[in-house]
Amino acid sequence: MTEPVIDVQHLSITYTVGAGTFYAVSDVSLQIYPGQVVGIVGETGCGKSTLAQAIPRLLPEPPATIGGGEIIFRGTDLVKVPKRQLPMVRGTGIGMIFQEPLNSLNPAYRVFDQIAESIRIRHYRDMGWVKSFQGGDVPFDYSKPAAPITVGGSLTKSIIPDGAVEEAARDRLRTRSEFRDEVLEYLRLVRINDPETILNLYPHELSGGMRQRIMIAMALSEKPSLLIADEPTSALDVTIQAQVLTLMKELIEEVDAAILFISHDLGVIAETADEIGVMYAGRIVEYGPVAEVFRSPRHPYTKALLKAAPSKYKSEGPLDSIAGSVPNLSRPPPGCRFNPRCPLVKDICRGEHPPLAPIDKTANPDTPGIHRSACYFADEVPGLP
Amino acid sequence: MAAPILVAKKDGPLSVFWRVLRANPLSFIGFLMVAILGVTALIVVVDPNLIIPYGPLQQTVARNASPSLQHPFGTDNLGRDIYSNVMLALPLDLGIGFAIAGSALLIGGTLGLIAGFYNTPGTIGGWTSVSIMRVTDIFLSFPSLILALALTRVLGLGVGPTVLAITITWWPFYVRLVRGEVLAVKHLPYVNAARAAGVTENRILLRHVLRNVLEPTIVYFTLDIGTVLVTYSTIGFIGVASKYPGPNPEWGAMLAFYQQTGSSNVYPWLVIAPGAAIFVTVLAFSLLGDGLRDILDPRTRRAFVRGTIAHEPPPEAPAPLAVASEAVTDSNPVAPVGIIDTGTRS
Repeated sequence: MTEPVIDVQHLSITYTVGAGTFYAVSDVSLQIYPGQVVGIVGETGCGKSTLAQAIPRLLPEPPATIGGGEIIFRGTDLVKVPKRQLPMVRGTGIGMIFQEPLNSLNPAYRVFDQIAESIRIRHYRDMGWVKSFQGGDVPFDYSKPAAPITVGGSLTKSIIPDGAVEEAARDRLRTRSEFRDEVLEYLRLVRINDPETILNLYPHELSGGMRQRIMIAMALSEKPSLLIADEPTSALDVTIQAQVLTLMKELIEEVDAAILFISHDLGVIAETADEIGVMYAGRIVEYGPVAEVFRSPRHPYTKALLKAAPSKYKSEGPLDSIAGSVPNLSRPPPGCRFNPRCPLVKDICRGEHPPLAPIDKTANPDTPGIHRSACYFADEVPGLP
Repeated sequence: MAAPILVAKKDGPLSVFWRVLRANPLSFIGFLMVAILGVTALIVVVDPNLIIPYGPLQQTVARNASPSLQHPFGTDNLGRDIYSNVMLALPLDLGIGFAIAGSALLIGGTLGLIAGFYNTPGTIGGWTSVSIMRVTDIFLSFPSLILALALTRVLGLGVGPTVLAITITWWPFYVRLVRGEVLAVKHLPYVNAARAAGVTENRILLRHVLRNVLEPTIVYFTLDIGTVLVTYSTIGFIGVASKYPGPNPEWGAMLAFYQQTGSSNVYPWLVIAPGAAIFVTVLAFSLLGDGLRDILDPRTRRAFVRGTIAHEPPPEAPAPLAVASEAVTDSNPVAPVGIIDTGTRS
């Protein structure tokens, strides 16, 4: 069986703000396999973005603290990797697209410089000029010195095998125009018309949709094995959202990366993801293949969420809403965190939090990607109105 | 790590410079004034005889003469030519302005970058940051002019000690300014985006933070040259910085001398000329600072530069998914649940 690209095990993240502690993510486990698109959906404040940023360890620590769990990437637990070495994982290992395209590009640099920087990072790591993340027991291979950048001379030649010097020289001495070709290639990949002109523009001269395309091009140009898209379409207006989403869907086909797609929009997830995880108050309450979860949700929260989404088939009347409000994560309710709002609530729900167990009791609980629900009464959910 | 220098082709820095200056007359005047001052100072240094008719201490027969063709700014009671003295002071005063503001920028700016960027509490950087800021606060708690005066008493009279004394009191302002700017910039999404792209912390500081802190800092620097000159002249006016009359005249010292000897009450041109020289220099650098702000910030720069290129963005790729929900219904088996409605909410 193939190894997952990323294997998150029982991850818990807390924020310490003043005297309070917020349990933003609790006991989240998630595996993403090569070529797979996993969607995470949930309300604002349910911990989606915290989870997304925690995987490449981008959360500012403090205030965030990883309370427990593992993030296994290429055989190494990223939770244990020292901060100094984290940049080697990011970009080429785990890439990221952010939700604020308007502010995620440096206003002082032209589009060309922004994308060329990403290509340069990947190129330097490929060439071994800077240390890169190897994975395995020895995450950073210090025994092998980074290849010297200065090329030529008898000393260099004795260390490096024949031909490597010339090859390195060719790659090292790439001219600006050659970088330019690669930048253009990525601009075309994200369907930008007239990339030759766009190349010389500053971010503030581009529309939101264009900037998000540039962001996507930057992330892709580093060829990450895992791409995390943190609400890439949320800040855009509807028509641009549709365009970027179409682009994302096409790129998912073209690009050889596992993708974690975070969104609060069920429609977006339904269109893009293979598997979906529904988060509520810091926990994954339901997980499974996207079609199955949407057709027959097995957690009362998922059911209510689907019912509350606007529909083109229901033309009249107010939208449904879920009674109650999201719990305060500094004092989460005991037991199942959905119990104060749940129509099926019983005493047992206020005890232990129910485990994320397979719906099909006969299935091997370790099978990846099968439909699971964290509800004691998962079988009764289909009967709910 | 040596990165290949990647510069886009169009709009070289010089052409941008020119177009901004042309579009903004006041900045243009400021730039022109600074250029004239600089060239004049250079001429004075290279060969004073070209534009200075008399020596600083040379006495002429015309005593207390009012401005004339022969003595454009008049003469004093011993017949010393004011014009010659004012011109001779130009390179010294400009040099003083640049030396003090420049050293303060380098020292204060570097400390401010470090204090602002590596300020995570509990780390080595955090402790460094706290130390820098507390030392800065100690310096800032003294009125800078009084501290500079006290220091000149300790360091001794003359130009060198005075420049050193003012620099010692001057750098804390740059620490505060740069640290504040760094704190504002370092939490912007593009810094986090660079981090996510695998850029190392040091490179983030130099490439992303420093570049965006540069603009307000350089502007402050040019405006500050004027302030420094006024401060130096104030100290010169009290009479501890430069000796006047002497071989190296200085504007503040000239003002002080003629005011203290009482000559200026009767012959106002004695103080008008050095005072105007200070005023013109300060004004020139203030205007230049405004112009530099426009040049350094791409967002304002474009307004001047892109007159020839259409402002509407090029057409984006046609959207095959014109009506999102329709396309979904056709392609996605889960649509009948009825929740698929791409992007009706944001």
